[in-house]
Amino acid sequence: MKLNKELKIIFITLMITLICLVSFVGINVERTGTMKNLISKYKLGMDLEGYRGIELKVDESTKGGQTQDKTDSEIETNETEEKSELINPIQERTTQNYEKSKRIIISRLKDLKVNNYIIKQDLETGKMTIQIPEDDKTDTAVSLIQSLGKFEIKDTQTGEILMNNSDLKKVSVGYANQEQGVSVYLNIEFNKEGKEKLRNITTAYVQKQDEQESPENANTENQTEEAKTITMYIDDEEIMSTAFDAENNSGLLQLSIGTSSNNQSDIQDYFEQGTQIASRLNSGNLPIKFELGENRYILSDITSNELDIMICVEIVIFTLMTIYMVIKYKENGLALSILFIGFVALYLLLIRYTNVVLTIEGLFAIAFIIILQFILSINILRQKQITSESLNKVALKEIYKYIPIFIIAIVAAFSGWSPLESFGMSIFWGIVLIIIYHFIVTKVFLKNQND
Amino acid sequence: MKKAKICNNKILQLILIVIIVVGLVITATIGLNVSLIYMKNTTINIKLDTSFENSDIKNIAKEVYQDQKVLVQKVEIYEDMVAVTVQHTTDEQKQELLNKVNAFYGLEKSIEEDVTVENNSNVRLRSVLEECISTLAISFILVMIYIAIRYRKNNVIDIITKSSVKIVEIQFLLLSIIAITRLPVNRLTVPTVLFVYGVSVYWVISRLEKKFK
Repeated sequence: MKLNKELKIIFITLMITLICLVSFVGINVERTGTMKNLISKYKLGMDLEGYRGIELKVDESTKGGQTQDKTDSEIETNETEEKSELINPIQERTTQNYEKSKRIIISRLKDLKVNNYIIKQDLETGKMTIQIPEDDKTDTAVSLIQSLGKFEIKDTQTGEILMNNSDLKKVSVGYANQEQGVSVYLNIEFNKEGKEKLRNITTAYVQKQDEQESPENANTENQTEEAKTITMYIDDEEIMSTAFDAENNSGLLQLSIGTSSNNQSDIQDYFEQGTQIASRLNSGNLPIKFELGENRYILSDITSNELDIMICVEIVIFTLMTIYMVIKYKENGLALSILFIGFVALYLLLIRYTNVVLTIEGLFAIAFIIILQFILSINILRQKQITSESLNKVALKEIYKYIPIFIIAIVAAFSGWSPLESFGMSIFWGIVLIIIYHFIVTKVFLKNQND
Repeated sequence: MKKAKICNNKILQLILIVIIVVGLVITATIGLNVSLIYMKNTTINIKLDTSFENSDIKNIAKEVYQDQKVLVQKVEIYEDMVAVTVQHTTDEQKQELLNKVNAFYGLEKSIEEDVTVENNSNVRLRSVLEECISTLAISFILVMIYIAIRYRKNNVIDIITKSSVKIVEIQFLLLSIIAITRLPVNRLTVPTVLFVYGVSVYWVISRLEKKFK
């Protein structure tokens, strides 16, 4: 029986040593001549790794495509004409429009789930400097934020604008299962006014059934009818030209994106395309056209040396905590110190494998969890006698204190803002681990040691 | 003994209130001391085409911009371009910086071809803090609901009032200390606020658990 207990203690100690080695050193194997760590790396946030710095400048070019770089005399002579030809007329370049543009860009970034950004805006010139995380969404975000989001339905022949952004209510993306595979649709929902306009358009631009049935009888007339089509534009780019089969009273227009497919990757691509268009249209039409200036990847100013210093400081504090436990509580203190080190090692592994994006807030959360585990260890050591019941009692008392922290963690994790998400997720996993670790490792270890 | 303790508590409360009031007055009148990354600044990008250490460039930049805060960052994946951010620069300072960098690395870079300057606007602190404030507010309400349920058999209103005052007081105290000591508001400010919030909630709950359970 005693041997069994000793074996349990030895097993747990060995497991902790192994976890510490894996977490702090890694599993290094030789791959193509170089040593590679098989343990997943930490995912670092914008403040620790780097970001994409994008500069958006108000487009100074004219509608002919030339940039306005003329001399003063030239400007004076052609002032009236030039102003009317500018892509961004002078009267449109107002603080309100600059601020509105910023709001639209923020909305698009949120739609694209870019949940960390810094936007600096010069309200005099309209210039914006945007910092966003560098990942697989970055290039999409760059193209999305500078697009106008202009929606127009025009008469193909006359070019008359029949509908525009003001008629839109909501644009969404949906799937439909068909015989050929899955089709992705862009659902354009119109507002009350837009619904009425759409009904009129679909009445005016509809192919009449009797004409379709007897084309030889009304050949000339039918050609005229068929030629009457509408063209849809998004950001001045032609999306499609069509006539309608029937009157549309639903106020909803459904456009297929790509072709029906069973290929998951194709469907995903179509869905992303649709989401981007939906985001552009839902966020509204940018009142100002911007051109892309600098677009660079900028590394964090927090260098690896500075990070090393921070880690060293944390190790020193952590060591002091363990030394305190050993000196004050002797044998049990030593046991709790070993368990404490094991907890930290396991926690750091958990952070890596739960894909928590670490930001400075996340680092603070890790420190907070280590403090909570330290407090739990001290509370255990303060017990006159360490028994199964006393360990349960201490854990239960602490769990009641963790509940509000857990609430904060969940709210932060769902905030949609990556620094807060990092804080929330780190605390969430930390508290979960504290509880599980207590009942599975600490309790078993101490019970066997003190029996 | 008990009277002395109450007296000490009152003095402590008074000191805290004074600190908070002074902090609020300073924030309202002078404002917070915003760090370089959040203030209006100028970034000088120099294409070095060679590897370099941020610390070396920072030392050079500090020699040129002696009275200013300096931030040095590597640019692009090859890390052969440097972005030096300062509060403001003149053409002479820009030239001096380039001359010193050229001399240090043995380069022949020119202002026209290898240097670009970007003038950046400030970041509104409100936009940085608003995400944090809404999260704190929602979680604060939920924590208070938890307290009300957990200690429902006691004087709930009194407990909630005292608990919320303590948590809010600690946050205001932190912000007042930042304002009074003129600590720069930088990327550590939000994490510190969150950390202190977490600690204060844990402390308040610990006291309540000790008192009522």
